[in-house]
Amino acid sequence: MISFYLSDGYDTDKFLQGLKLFSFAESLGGAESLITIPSIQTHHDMSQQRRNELGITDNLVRVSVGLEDKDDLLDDLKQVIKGAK
Amino acid sequence: MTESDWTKLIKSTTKIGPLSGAVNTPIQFSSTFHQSNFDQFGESDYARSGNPTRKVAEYAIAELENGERGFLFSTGMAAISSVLLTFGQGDHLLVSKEVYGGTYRLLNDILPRFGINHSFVDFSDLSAIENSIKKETKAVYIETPSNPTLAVSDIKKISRLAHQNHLIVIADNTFMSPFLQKPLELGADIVVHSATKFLAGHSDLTAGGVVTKTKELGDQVYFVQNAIGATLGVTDAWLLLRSIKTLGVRIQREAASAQAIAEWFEKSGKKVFYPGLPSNPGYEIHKSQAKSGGAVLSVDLGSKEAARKFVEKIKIPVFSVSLGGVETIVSYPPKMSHAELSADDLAADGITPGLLRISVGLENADDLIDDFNQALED
Ligand SMILES: Cc1ncc(COP(=O)(O)O)c(C=O)c1O
Repeated sequence: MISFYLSDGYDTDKFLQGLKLFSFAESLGGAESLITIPSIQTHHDMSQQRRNELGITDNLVRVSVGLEDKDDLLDDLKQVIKGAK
Repeated sequence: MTESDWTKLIKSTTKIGPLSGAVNTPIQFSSTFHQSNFDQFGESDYARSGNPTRKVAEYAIAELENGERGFLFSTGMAAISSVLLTFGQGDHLLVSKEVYGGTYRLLNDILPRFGINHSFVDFSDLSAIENSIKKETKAVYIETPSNPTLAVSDIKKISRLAHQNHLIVIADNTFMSPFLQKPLELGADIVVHSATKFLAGHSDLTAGGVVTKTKELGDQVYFVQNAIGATLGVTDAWLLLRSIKTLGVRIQREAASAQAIAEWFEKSGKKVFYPGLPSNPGYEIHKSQAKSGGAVLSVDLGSKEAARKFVEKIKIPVFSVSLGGVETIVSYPPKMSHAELSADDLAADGITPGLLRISVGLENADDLIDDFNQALED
């Protein structure tokens, strides 16, 4: 499991639309790699204020890494981050 | 982007469900499919001809073998039978003398009734293959490594010879799985599988697979699949999809353990059959066409008595037919997988009375070696 922030100037929606190998879906620990945006999925029921205190902002991306080849996964992330600018 | 096999294993088995977005393929329990147009039928009409769940799994095995079309059957024997029934009256097949007992039975006792005859040939001898080609010969049938003596056939050289003589090359890839060996890339035209083994991997179902290199061969196999109808049910197709996702992690670890166990048996002075051992006559050829020696080895303990004693003393493995499961399986080929063979054929194929076949599972290799060690002690 890894979480990271998209920097200012990167569009989260564009990022999600461009994913080819990762599924944009809740949950974690599967054989397939999943990407979750906690602020709108797993932690949506938390108040915005509490989310902000914890750093769960809309640009926080959570990654559950599956069994695919790591270079293929990195390639997908690189192309999608580039496209989200 | 060319994806590695690790990625293919996941991507080809994870087809997002179009209705709900389900990450796993829905199991479609439907034998028949409503047609919304009188003149033009939809993709599915009747489940023997094609079911959406089975189709995803068929697509997955075709992707993994790097072939054009994939087909799934209820067992490996159903798959092999369906491929061999693309031949007909008067056709002749050249078959590796070391084939699985069920394939041997099919060739000897069923196919001749339809006028499909064969010769068994030592496939380690290219000139023997060449000299056995008759004008009626239509195909060569390879099984490498073979069951249970792990004999290696050179897929590339045999395919080249076969193609020079306009023969189709069929390869049983059960022992390697597409993760370790891709016969179509080495020249074969059709790959067959007992998907019961490594592809399913959990000793929980029977299934068979066929992948063809071309659409034309695929059309011929499809015709028989639909006509005879020995197709895989949707629950098993789904379980197979689920299992293929972990094929890489399973077989990579199982093969590493098998290598260690084979080396250990050899060091203890036993006769070991394993293509990952440099002492094996097929070692170099195998190394050139497969990623590792795989997860199955055989060992000759010298006598039936010694084999019986070993089986009675081992504590970790199960003693049963089959291979390719997550649990280590020890079997006794003369009375199990190869019980169909006559005493003469058993002897000719090196299936001696002391031969045990071991399919290494996911347990710790050192634990298995300790167990085998105590079983060998007097
Ligand atoms: C190499 C090989 N081919 C084919 C088969 C037949 O497959 P099934 O038992 O799934 O019918 C087996 C089964 O042991 C096998 O080992």
